[in-house]
Amino acid sequence: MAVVEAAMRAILAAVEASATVTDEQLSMLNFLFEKNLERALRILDQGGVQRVTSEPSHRTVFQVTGESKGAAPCYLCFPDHYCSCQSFYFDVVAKSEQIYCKHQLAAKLANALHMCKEVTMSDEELAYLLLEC
Amino acid sequence: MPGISIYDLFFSPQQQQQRQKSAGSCSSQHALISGPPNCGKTSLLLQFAYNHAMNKDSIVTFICKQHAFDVKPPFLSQGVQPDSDVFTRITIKYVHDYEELLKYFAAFHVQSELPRAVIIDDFYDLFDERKCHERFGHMRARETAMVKTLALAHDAIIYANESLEPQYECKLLVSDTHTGDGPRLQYIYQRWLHQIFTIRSLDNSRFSVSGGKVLQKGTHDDSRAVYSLVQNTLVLEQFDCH
Repeated sequence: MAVVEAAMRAILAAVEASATVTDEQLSMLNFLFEKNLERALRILDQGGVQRVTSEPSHRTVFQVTGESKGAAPCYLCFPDHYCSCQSFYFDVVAKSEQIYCKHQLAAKLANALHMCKEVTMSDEELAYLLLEC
Repeated sequence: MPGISIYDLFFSPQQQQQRQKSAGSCSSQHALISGPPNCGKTSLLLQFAYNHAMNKDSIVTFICKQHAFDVKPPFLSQGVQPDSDVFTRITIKYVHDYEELLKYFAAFHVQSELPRAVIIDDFYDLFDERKCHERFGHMRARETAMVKTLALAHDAIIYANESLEPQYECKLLVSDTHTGDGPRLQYIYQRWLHQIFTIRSLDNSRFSVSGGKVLQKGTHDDSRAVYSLVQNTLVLEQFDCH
């Protein structure tokens, strides 16, 4: 797991530096994350990642929209270590079958590619939002 | 940043410098201390709180259930006076259940002053199965609630460490009781608490605490300390560092 995380960090650092993702990088990410990468990229294409920052404290959280058509659910995400979706608990934490869920991947990629929608709210509003995790 | 090591359970950062001991080669500011019932976990937590409140500009938040201290008052270390002004910098925050814990960490950034340490005693006992099921409504409701709480706490501490001056750090220390060889639900704890200290009973009043293995970064701190609870006092008997 540590090796995969290190590889992911290296790839994302390169992506962020160039603000693009090459075919080779996509291929490596696909090798690491398989179907979850495909789902994450779909979320990205739909503009489904939002970074919420509070003022004046600058604490942040990501909101990631699910893939469902129609009224897609919105999940709260700390990309490195948590998502409020059920898949995170069952597949990442309980079964350790995945390192990240698709929402975490989407958030990480959106952050590296500067594709997040930026939202600002007050510190109090963010506190209420975090309770919805 | 140095992170949490066994030294922090017994010595303040200043005392560690005087003894020329590093605060550990580990880099995690998040730790779990797990041990059998009545082994002095709360006393160790209080000593940790005292150590980190010694600096006059440091505050510490100690979170526990109400009346926890009434039922089993913790012991102080030798040389620690109950009327010490250090205790004025330790805020005891009583919570009924995990939902109050969630509110605290969700609003962590709203505080006017960030603590140097947040301590949570008897973490698992804050998660009532029925209440967790009412909120999350599926078979692993308690575990889901624990995951959410630890993640929010982890994020709060990361936020604090990014906000504080570089020479300061914020630490999270959580305690839990186990009846077997190690902490229950370790697969959950270790995801957010990268240091795990395990207490073992040597006899009725003597215990050893060891561990502190960092699971992700590959550094180790396998120090071991032996302490006793005698005449209402926490006494450090032996310290082996590696």
